Amino acid sequence: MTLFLLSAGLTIIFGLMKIVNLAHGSLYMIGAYIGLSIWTISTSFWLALILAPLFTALIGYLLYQVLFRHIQIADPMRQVLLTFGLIYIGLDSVRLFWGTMSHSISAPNILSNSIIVLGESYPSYRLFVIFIGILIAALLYIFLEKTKIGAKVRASVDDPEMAKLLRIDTDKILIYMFALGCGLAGLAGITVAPILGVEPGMDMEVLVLTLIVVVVGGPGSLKGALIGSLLIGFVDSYGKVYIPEIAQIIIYAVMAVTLLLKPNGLYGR
Amino acid sequence: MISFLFRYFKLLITLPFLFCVANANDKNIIKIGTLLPYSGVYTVLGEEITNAMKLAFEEQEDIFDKKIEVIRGDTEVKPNIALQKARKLISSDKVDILVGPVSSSVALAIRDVVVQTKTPLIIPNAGANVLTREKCSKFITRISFSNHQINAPMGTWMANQGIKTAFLLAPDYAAGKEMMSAFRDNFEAGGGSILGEEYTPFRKTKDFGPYLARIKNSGAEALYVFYAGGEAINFIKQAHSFGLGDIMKITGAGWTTSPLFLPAQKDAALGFIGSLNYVPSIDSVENNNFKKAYIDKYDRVPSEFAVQGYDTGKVIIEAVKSLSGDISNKEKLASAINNISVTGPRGPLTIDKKSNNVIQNIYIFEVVSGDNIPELKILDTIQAVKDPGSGCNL
Amino acid sequence: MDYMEDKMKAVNYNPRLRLHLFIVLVVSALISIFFGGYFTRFFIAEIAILSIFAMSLDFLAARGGLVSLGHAMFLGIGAYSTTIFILNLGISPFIATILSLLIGCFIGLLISYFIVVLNGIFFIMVTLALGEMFHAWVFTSELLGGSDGISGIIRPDISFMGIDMNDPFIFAIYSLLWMSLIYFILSRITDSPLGRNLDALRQNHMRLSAIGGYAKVYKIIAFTISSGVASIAGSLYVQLNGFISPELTHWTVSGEGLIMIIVGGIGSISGAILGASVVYILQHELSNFISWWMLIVGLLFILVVLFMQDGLWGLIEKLRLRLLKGKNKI
Repeated sequence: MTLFLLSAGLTIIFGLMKIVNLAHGSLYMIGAYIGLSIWTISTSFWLALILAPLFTALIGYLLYQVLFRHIQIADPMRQVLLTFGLIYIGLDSVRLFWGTMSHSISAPNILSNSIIVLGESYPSYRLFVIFIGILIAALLYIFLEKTKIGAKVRASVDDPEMAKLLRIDTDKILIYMFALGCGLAGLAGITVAPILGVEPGMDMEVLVLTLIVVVVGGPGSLKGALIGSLLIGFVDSYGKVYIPEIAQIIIYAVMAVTLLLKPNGLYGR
Repeated sequence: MISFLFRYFKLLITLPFLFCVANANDKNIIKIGTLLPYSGVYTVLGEEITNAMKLAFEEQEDIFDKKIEVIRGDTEVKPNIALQKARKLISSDKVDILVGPVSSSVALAIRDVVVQTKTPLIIPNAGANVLTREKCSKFITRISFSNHQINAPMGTWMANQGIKTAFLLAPDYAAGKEMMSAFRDNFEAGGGSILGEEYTPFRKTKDFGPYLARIKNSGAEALYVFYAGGEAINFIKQAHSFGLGDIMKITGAGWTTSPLFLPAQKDAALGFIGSLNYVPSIDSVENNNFKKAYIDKYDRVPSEFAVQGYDTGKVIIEAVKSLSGDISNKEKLASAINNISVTGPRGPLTIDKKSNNVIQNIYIFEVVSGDNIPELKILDTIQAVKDPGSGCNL
Repeated sequence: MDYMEDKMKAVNYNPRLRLHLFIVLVVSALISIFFGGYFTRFFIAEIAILSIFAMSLDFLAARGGLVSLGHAMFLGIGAYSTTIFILNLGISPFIATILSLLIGCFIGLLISYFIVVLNGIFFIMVTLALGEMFHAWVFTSELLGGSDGISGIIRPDISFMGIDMNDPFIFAIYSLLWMSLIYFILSRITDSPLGRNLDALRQNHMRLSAIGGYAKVYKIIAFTISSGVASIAGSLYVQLNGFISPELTHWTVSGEGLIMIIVGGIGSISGAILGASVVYILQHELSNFISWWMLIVGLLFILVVLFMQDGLWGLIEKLRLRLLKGKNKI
């Protein structure tokens, strides 16, 4: 489900702005670290859960204003390299602010026990993460498909020129969508922090996985991100246990097969 | 046209001279070059080792009027970068002794250049067995451990405790496999049997759920595990929330619950039994002094990595002393290092003449609850453990 | 991705300046080799090899219009195949380099057949994923030494000619020779009808679709040549260092390669060499002094991407024009 939160954010950025954001993993890491700081100061996990994504969205907003605005029309290579530079900066800034130690955040007390699901005991915090994932998926769906702003967003994605003619402020929409995408990365970071911990290097670990999910699902498609993350998450978790011989390459194989059959991803436009 | 050429030329000709600057070789300075990670994900280990080594040097004002200078080489945990830094430290900075590295792949990369240039290398961490076996050298001294050395005693110890069956779990890379096979050999020799084993993709495993299910169902009495860094934290927390500890004993290589990770693992680590070459709870004068000095200076509890760095510093000082400060002959310096025996925070250390790997005590510990963060309580001490050092011709 | 084609129109094509820059770079490298010490010679050899890698990316980006984030895979293919040829099969290192070139070309051909149809961003992502797949495989492969890599790889033995390859001086020259050879070959291809066609195709999207299938063929050719060149770089790299480990195949290596050509100026070939030298020297020097060098390097990357469209090449070209003008007045 973390994968979904991450890839939903990335797919929004990718699909809407045609920006390959390699720094998405860095935002995820920064989200987790900001959450850590808020949690340490306020000792409230819930506050961290709400504030960390907001701060990450703010960082996204600033990044867009300062950098992405200029390269939005430029070629993909420049975008990729720009965000590549951001990875470096992200890694070192985290080190300068938070040091190099690994940290962890405790889940709030109500979520720290186990629940029996289908005869197996299952940590309740994990169920909470799944719940958050479903909640966000539902909210995004309603937002994009059922509201007026959502309609404007879709219009700006499908036909920016036409949208401009219809007096939709595409620039503004793009900024907020970018910030939303970054905020989702931050949300993913803080949500999984109680399970996976907070440490430098966590950005790289999720980046490639997230990119694959987006490619498999089809960039710009929320449904694709959801299905893609479930598929890749499942294959990644169970594939390596049951077929350890190809554990390392199984997700790439899934991607290769998908692309051979559907070059634009499962739900690509 | 020629004039343009000349213009570019002037610009570029300055570049080479950046590298030609030869350092004056001051006789009164002992130059120690470090090859440790100062950037990237293993930075914390590089810092711990360097900090503690400097602490050792600071305690010693000067040796025979010589000052010790530490020149840092950042390996970035990339073998090719490390190799290039090794060449720089050896040929441009003209260091007397190299200290490093943290990871085994880096150690293997720089091994040949160190031996060819006859520069004494002290390894303060990297554990690959071959470094003091087939790839051993009189210029390479390992003050830390070999992967075998830490894990093998645990196999014997657990078999002696009456544990009959175990399940192995480690990341899928060279060190993970070496540790598991060392444990397996001794555990089986002691009468135990391995019911199953899993190797998880290195640094790519976040969800241990499926593995935990498998381990639960294996029916083994104990799990023997090795993880480090974020994976160690995740694994311990996930195993705890799945209630694995209620079914079987969770044991493993001691790094899994290193003092570096305990603040993050907290009570989830309680009950873990591991083996390591140092635990902070060792009650000796050396260790208590060291702990106090380290906490005073760096404001955190030293880890086994810090101790390895500190002992490296001590060994260097003793070696220089034993040569009365004359370190101009590198072969003599290397052999002086290999003849040192010191008592450091982790107990008495000597160098095995057969392989140049350290001979040291291995501590079997259990994680128990402490004031704020859990502590490591020593259950057993296995004296003077050696690496078999097979395949080494010194 | 039409905009990609549009934006890459400004290819730095200027054979004369290219040659001049190349000569200057080689001469300064030679001076460093002659006057530098042990370390400098190794360093120059390393830069020469990285330049070969950068040139392969440059060729692919400028002639094929393809940006690959998985090119380190070919570096790895060259490196590992050379290792196996030398250590397991006892083939002489020089022939091993040639063989690994062929293997690199073949695998490049195979892969490109499937992936060149993908457009801009997709191509980047897929190459990234392929590269990571290779990295993951190498990392656990027992045959290839796994995470610890393989060491003890030897260099070409030409002692019968009275030359000792283990002397860093000789090996630096040897690497420079390879670099020059590849420079001339890539320059020839670029100037040839094939190269001009590639350029024309990339710049003109309409014509590209008009001749349909041929575009794909051209892209495949560009990708194959580029993979072969990257394999040579990999092959030389193991001979230089005497060891190979999976880190060489990580996707960030490809990313750094792309940064090198952006800094140097895409499409100019000798700009790739310049970029490789500048980026590598910068990284090396910075990391000796400050531990947070990544922050600075990252910032510089961003500045170059934002403000220097044609990299250092563009700067030199402008400078040269100004000088020319000044001269004409007199």
